[in-house]
Amino acid sequence: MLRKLALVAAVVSGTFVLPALPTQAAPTGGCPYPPSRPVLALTVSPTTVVAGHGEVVFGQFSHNNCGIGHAAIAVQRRLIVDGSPSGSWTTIRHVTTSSKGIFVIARSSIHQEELRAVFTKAGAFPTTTSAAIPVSVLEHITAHVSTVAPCRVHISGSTYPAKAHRRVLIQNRGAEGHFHGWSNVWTATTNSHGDYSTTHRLTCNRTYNLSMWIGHDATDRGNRTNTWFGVKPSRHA
Amino acid sequence: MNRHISGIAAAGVAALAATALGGCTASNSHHVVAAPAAKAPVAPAYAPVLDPGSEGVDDATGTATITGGSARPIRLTATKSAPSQIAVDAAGHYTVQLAMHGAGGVFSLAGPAAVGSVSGDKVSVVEPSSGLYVDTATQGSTCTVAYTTVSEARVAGTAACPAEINGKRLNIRVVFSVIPMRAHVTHG
Repeated sequence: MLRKLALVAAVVSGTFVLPALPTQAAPTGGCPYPPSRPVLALTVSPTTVVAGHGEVVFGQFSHNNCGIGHAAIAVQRRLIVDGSPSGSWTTIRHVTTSSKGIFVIARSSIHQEELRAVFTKAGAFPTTTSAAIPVSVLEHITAHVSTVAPCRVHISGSTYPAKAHRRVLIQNRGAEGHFHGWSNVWTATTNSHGDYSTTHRLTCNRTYNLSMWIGHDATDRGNRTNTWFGVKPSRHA
Repeated sequence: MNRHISGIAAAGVAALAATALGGCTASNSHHVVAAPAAKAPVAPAYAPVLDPGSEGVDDATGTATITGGSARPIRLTATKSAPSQIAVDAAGHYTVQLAMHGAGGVFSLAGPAAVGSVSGDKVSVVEPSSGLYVDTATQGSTCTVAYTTVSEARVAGTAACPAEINGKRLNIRVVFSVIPMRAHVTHG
């Protein structure tokens, strides 16, 4: 599963890269009057993402609300560690704006970070930097849930990025449409590869609605799995 | 979380990128758990909308259709590999984070959800081919979001955003609907 995730992350972040052409035409467009500085806008969709899932980063380089085409834009990232920006900005992609001044890239984030776009002075346009957009990245935790007679539940799963020797809470909630908070049922611990596997005896014929939760660390927010509604262990297979 | 990854959504996102750039020259105790999630100190416009530590959060798939920008409606999807989310807290308040992608554009919606009109949700829409770019967080755009259905089983509604492309005023409308991805128990 983790290999698959890593592959997809590579595909999303790598295969579809459409780099700026080696020889850039001078940026064109924009509305010259009234005199003003160009604007470089940046949007990330979504701004809260599960590690390894794809996100779309798009923006527009414009002057007086008119797009500036053929402009070389560098998309940059800076890590967020323990809630604060850490290190320097690194360029992750070079793109060229369309004739309407728009650029779009697909990528995936693994750790909390912020993104910005930078246009470096060319033609008639000065160096312009967008606002920095924080990307909130949730840990990716998976699970497979099965009932095992008599009256036991087996759960196994993995984390991405791999979180070794971390506690996973198996939690219960009310039925769909009746959420009143999470209650801990039991705990598991991930191994050195970030995987976990646990079997636990529960009350026979009682219905559980289970989700697995892993807490945050310095680089990723905590996250939970979807809910397995209607888990009902029984005495017989 | 049954987050099975496929390349389908990635392909859609890639197609969008290509569209945008096309033509360019260049323990056992039972107790209610407090919210333990870490949150980065960010500007309010970018504060995370989901709190999986205390909320019931489920991935969701669905569709959205943008009209009013391009000559034809633009259809977008949220898939298993790039899902949206529906969240509910213990008080019964819902929050959504929708992110729909396709070859023709992107639609995002994040914030509180309740049947009727809701203010303050963040909306962004881009259609590279038409030059449409709406973002309530960075562009000063104003969108009106109205939900017709809000539950753990389905969220649906519309977002209406006035926009301007090359001096021409447009009324952009996005109709969206998502349903949660349900995980299935196996019996051993």
